[in-house]
Amino acid sequence: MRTISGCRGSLVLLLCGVAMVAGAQQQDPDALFRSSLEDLTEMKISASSFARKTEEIERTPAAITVITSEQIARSAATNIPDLLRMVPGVQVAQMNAATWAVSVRGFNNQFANKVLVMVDGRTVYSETFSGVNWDEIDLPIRDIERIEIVRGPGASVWGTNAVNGVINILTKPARRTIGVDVGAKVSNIMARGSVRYGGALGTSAEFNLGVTGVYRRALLDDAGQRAFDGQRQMRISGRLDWRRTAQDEVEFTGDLYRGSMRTELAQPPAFSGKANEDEALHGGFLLGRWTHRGATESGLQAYYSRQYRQVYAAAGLVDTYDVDFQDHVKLSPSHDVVWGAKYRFTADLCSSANRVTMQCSYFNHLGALFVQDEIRLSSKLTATLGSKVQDGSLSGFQVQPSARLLWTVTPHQTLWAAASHSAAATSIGQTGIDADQIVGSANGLPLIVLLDGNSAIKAEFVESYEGGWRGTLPHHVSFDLASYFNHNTRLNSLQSGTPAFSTEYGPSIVIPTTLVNGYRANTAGVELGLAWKPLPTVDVAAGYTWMQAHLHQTLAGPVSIENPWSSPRNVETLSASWAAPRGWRVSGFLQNVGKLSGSVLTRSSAAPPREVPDYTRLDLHVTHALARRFELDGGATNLLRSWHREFGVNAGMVDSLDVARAFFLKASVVF
Amino acid sequence: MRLPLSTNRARLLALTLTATLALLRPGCAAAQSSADESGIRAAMLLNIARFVDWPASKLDEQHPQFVICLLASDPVDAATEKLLSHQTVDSRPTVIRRVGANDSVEPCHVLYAGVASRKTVGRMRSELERASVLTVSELSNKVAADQVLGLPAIGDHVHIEINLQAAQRAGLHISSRILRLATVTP
Repeated sequence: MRTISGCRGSLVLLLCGVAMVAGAQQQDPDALFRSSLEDLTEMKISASSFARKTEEIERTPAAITVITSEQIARSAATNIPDLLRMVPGVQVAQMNAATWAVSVRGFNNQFANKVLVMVDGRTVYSETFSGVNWDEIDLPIRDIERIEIVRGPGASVWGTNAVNGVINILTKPARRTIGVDVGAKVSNIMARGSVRYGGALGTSAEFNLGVTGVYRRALLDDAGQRAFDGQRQMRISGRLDWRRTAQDEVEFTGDLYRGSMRTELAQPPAFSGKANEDEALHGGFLLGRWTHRGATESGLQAYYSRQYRQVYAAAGLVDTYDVDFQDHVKLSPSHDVVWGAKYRFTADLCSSANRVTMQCSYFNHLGALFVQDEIRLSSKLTATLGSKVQDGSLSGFQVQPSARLLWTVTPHQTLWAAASHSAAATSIGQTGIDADQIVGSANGLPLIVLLDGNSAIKAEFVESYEGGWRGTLPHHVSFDLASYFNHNTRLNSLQSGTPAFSTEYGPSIVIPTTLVNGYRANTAGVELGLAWKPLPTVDVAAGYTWMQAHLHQTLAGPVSIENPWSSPRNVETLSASWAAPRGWRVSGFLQNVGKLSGSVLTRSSAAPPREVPDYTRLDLHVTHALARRFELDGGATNLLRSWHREFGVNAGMVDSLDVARAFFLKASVVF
Repeated sequence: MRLPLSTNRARLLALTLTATLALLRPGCAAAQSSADESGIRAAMLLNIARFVDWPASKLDEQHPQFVICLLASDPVDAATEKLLSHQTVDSRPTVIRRVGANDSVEPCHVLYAGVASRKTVGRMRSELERASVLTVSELSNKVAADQVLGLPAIGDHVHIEINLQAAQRAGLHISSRILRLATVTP
């Protein structure tokens, strides 16, 4: 029987090591055939060609949450960031029509640099701007098979910027997309349409091809006017899965996208023209992966990707070539080893305009090796030791070790603890930015910050100490409790020099500012997730997150942190879905997000500065299956208030906009 | 340090903790088992077959065995094949037979079609109905309109979909016990 396949991209696999393979092989087929049909319908798919393991999550010494395609189908979300709102410990804030700030365990910002995001094993973190441009991976969520979220560091395996979390998005294998799938969604804030065709090529290969288009309307500004934002985008994507032999699988995926986005410019005073501009984004990728399953399991993956985008009028073109190999070896009954090597080469080309300049480092190399050993200490105790060693042009030489311990208290409850050291990647923006912008006025003269990058800036470090408890309880309840303490050092900060009179942009006061490692922070938090299935037709989930940060300045003088904490102290989440008879389904999502500590609501000089206030979000929708092939879905998001603000000033440059209540109608047909 | 919780939040947290602790009483935990996808599908198929009545013509002496035919199967179905042989359905031993698009399906009780043969099942529809064959695949009935039973994997689970009209046309009677657990597709 096949045990694990196609799991190369799965986080769970790496964190659990080969023990999962062994565990799955112990499964007794006769017991399976004795199971009742009721049990079989509730049985989770553990290991198969195309589904990743989930039950093993309960045996993983890390805080992992999985969003399945069932949960995606029940959600009112249309994009990946909105889906991530349901995960405790993940902060999601929409800034404008097509920009989101997403972080795990704090320090949220559009340029959040402590989370690694991958799509099908491909890194989508931007080395140029730090953070993730979520609109670049704006795939139809119907194409997503599952999203795995590791809260906490994954750096020992995945490398830099897997500091506070790893988000791994896995699309559906072609096998699960056979047929034609047409979907459309319209609302008062956006419209989206997609068509996908999946077919078989003989008995050993399947493929799919899809095209999707999205239009996002501008949101409203403080005056209730249509603001500067809005986006249009087209994307074509495809996939080919080929089972060459019973042991070998080959997979090719790729996409191409093109779009444009309205953005507000950070204006220098001498520049009196337009305030808005259409900024282009386009790119694509091609990935190939070979997986071999013999005595051991190994995988070789290579991809090329291209990203072009303008951000606040500076543009970056990044070509990435990435090769990755990994292998699992069972050295002895008590040692499961996963090791791997990676080489990445990126070529960057930056252009500049309107007082925002990026000095690119044109060629960047990154080489990395990792090894992780899962040591079975006793039948109930497992230790996992591992480290990644990497050297690269941007972040230098880094050793990122971790030690984890898992105690299986009962077959249904586990306790785990971990200690890790990780490093956040330094971005090209941090070393090479040159941005001059008005931040206010003084003595009747414009006040201009002259921001310069610092090529000597060092990678941020985080020491993490985590613990967790999870399990299943009677009455179909499962829980996942995790807590952490992080000691962050060398946090990127802005150091201001002495203000001086200048005439470069007309008479003005200029403040020379540069990036330094000027802060440290202690952060701590608790995350609780509960899932309950009181009836076969009802799913209920609840989440609670508490988190807090204490920041300390480590350099004297006027220094401010570059990415503030900007995270709520408390978040409570409740979601429920009921599959009613005759093809109806009712689903709801309620979330209360506390005010964002350490945020600044607006750039306007109104005193005193305010933090982004708390808000409650309610999404409600009803789905109805019409005949066999049609499905209609109607409802509303943000039902409670006509608008609310989710984030404040973005990177010190632009105010965020109001997220509006939206009524939507969605239709899909499959044949 | 002051407990950084407002009164309402503290109450909510206390309530959640109380509820959690109340649930933590000793006793057997809910069975949250897991298995291989093709294993679950094979076990489901056999389980369902035991609650399907075939017409008498398929249960006579000429059909001493319960014949599961595999159409255009691929390596994933090879696992299913291994699991499905050496079982019994209504005291008949199961046997596995590989068939092609041009082979007779008359001996088959079940036809398990690979994902590549979605259209083949449509072309063979009248023959399959005449022979009272329970057609099944891992595709959803939404895309495999002519099959009786769909066992698609959606998220973490294998779902059961029954096309009642197709079942009736094939002269198959499906127990209400199955229908309660299945999505009945029109």
